[in-house]
Amino acid sequence: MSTSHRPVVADDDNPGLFRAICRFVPMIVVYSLRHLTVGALVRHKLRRLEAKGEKWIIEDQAD
Amino acid sequence: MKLYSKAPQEATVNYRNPPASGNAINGLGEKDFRRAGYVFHSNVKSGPLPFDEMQEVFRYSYPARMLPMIIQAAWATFRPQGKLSGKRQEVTDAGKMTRQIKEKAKELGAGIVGVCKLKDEYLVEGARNEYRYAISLGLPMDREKMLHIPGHTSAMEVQRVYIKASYLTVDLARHIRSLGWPAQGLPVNSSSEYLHIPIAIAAGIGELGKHGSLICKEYGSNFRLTTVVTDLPLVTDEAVDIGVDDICATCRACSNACPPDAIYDDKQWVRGTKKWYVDFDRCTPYFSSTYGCGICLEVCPWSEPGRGPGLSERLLGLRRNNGKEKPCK
Repeated sequence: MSTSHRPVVADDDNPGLFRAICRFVPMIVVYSLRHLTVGALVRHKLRRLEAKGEKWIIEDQAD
Repeated sequence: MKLYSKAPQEATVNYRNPPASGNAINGLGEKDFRRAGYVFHSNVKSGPLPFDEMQEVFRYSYPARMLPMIIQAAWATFRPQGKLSGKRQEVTDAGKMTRQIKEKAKELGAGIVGVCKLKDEYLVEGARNEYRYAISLGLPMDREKMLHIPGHTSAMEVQRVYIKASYLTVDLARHIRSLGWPAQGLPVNSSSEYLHIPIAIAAGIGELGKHGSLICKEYGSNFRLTTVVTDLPLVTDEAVDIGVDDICATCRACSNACPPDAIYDDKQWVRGTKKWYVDFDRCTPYFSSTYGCGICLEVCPWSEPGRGPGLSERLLGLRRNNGKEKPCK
């Protein structure tokens, strides 16, 4: 999975408020959409597995 | 201490074949010193890390109702840290300035504050130290809510305190910059180049406990850390000995309560230092399956409200009376 969408530590170049907002808004919109869509699927899968007493096995990344 | 929630016995998420050993990345068993490396909670500076896929499941496992808090925490890392004032306030009395900064930090929400000189070893490998001092800040969590660990209630409390810590660190850095001295707040939304725990130990906030987290007299382990790094001349604090090792050497509260059995009962060699260590490869899958777990922090006897000062006094008194040195060096 890509790491680019996450709300992570911003560069320490300390931008002004306008630039900070311009950088923050697109990132957080994408993140929020992912949390509500991909996240919903992840949470549903976790609940389903927990109820069945099964595990979410992450396959080898090389595969 | 009895927790309110029944913790699952096993991790729901795990690798068929782990992409790496987190213990190897952390330097478990290494007797020679080297600086720490990034291992989990990847960010812009760390780049992708081996356990990113598990981290994705962890991040998305938080319920949708926590999204506003996640957005707030993210904004804390993007907030401008304020312009460096061109008019520098000269510091003739570093002691007085230190007292003022500590008061300001407490006014902004810190529960405990300590200062240390910054050393390269407090930064991850490859990061450059550009500041002279670190101000370590501890913020207590709501004990009642944390006793629901692991679950949504405690996860939301942890997130609330992280947001508070992130605003505090930036606001304090902004205050120092307004005095004309370089400073950087380190919001705690993700991994930092600066290692909050070694800094807090050097700044006299507390001692490392068997569960791999800090223990302080005031809050036990029921608190979170953040840091401000700065060039403002300050008087440093000394590392403290409150008797943590005297208890951890024989206490099994955290190791017995840990579902994945990740807590070692003895100190381990880690990158050249013998210290308490938590098995990353056992802890992280469980941590990622349970909204950040943290059972070990709450079952710790030091975390019982009001118990720390008396406990410390008794332990140090016993050690003095028995003419013993600090145990398990």
